Amino acid sequence: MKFCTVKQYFDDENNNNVTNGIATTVIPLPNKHLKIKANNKEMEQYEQELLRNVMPQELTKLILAANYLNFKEALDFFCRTVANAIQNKSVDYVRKFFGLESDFEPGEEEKLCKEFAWSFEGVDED
Amino acid sequence: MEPEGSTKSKRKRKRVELEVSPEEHVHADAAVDRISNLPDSILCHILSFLPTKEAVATSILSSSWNSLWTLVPALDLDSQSHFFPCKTVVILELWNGIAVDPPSSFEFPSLKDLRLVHVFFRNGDCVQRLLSGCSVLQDLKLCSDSRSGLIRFDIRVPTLKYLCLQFLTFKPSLPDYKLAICAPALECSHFDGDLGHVVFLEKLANLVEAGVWIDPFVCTREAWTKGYQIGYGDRVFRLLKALNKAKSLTLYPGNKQCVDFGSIYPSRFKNLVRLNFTLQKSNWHVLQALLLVSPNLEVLVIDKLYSRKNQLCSMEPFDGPGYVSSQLTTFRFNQYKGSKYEVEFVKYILKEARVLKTATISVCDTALKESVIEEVSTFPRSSKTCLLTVEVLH
Repeated sequence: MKFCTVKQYFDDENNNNVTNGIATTVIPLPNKHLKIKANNKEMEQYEQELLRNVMPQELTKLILAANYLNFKEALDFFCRTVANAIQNKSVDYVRKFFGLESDFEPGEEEKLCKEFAWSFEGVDED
Repeated sequence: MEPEGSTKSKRKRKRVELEVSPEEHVHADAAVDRISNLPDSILCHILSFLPTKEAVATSILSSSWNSLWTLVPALDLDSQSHFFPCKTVVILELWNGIAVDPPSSFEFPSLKDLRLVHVFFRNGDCVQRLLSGCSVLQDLKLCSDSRSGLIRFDIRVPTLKYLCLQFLTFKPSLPDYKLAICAPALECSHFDGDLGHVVFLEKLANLVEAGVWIDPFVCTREAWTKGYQIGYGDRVFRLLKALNKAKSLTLYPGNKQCVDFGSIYPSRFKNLVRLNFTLQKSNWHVLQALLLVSPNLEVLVIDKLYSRKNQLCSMEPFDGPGYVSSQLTTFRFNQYKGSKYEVEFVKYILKEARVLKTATISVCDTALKESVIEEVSTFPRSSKTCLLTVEVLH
């Protein structure tokens, strides 16, 4: 954990990157990380918990906080959580998850679908 | 009526729900909170945890996601059967640390532009195996170094028009690679770095532009460099011979002393119209020899690159007019200092170039400008219409 960055955060008066709520989630993470480092199952459970309780928007804030605090393990953990959440899911599911809308020209999307058909094999049911 | 009515009321209810739900509330006011608005570097970090196949699939999410997957630094090449049959890729750039080992059946049928920058190859065959799958490849850039695993390899691409090769060697390795190139359609060829054994198997009849920049190899008296030093000159001139159909040539033949250059330019550069030569104290004779075999040269640009360690190599006296093409119209000498050989050279050009239109001498030092103008304007000029300029360029 980079303590100098944390100190800087507390010293910064005009800090929009990290709200207090998020900081309280992220900062205890290293302790949890150390405690359950050897136990992957618990990490998995924590991940499931995170996904259920934390909206995609909150997860975004967590990622940004981890990035700002230069906390690599937390950043990796959150990013991996997002990746696991969208793995093997359909295009529509992922769009909804990210809050995206298709802005392709009509026909462009079909073209891409055909070209990258091999990458859509084996997708889960929604 | 009933089904419609119920649907209507359901919809109405839903709308109310949406207004109240906290989820919708957040969506409405904080677009910045959406994951997709995270910076590209973080989104790529997320994608790097996905198998390549899935990362590629994100290209269909929206237009801004279309090429995000290509920024992911590590490609999962273990899933070769998925990744390699990429039917529509037109430009592919692989760089830094990726290991390339394509299966023998793979293809990139639309690939026109391939850039391999400091990637690792399992063995020399991997290069040609990769290239064999690119039936319409036109542009190839290969930046390699002594860690890449390339010792003996081929580049055989009948459609290739543009080739850019760069080799770096890290001590204590020597540039000991052997490369055979078969690219008869080549129009532009560039080489930069430490020259090993490079052979062109087919004549480059369509060559328009060539560039050769031989890095100054740190020449020491150590025994392990001896092997490289022997034959250095031959390697340089063998490469240049292969490029002798070029219309335009940019050349820096390195800083090895003249004693290491073997026989120079066994062939003529009949098509050469433009020469840009980087001069050092040790390669005057290379410049002279090249001018001797370029009878149709129209533009000559000299750039000086002096280093302190450079030993002076004597310039051959110009015996007769043959060193300057009768077609020369443009002459430029950069970083002119007025040294003995420079004066002799400029004098010679001005005297012999009968159709010279512009001669430009640029100096680095403003204080030098006046004295240079004074001196150079006294040199006899055979072209009455020649415009002589002395300028200051830092």
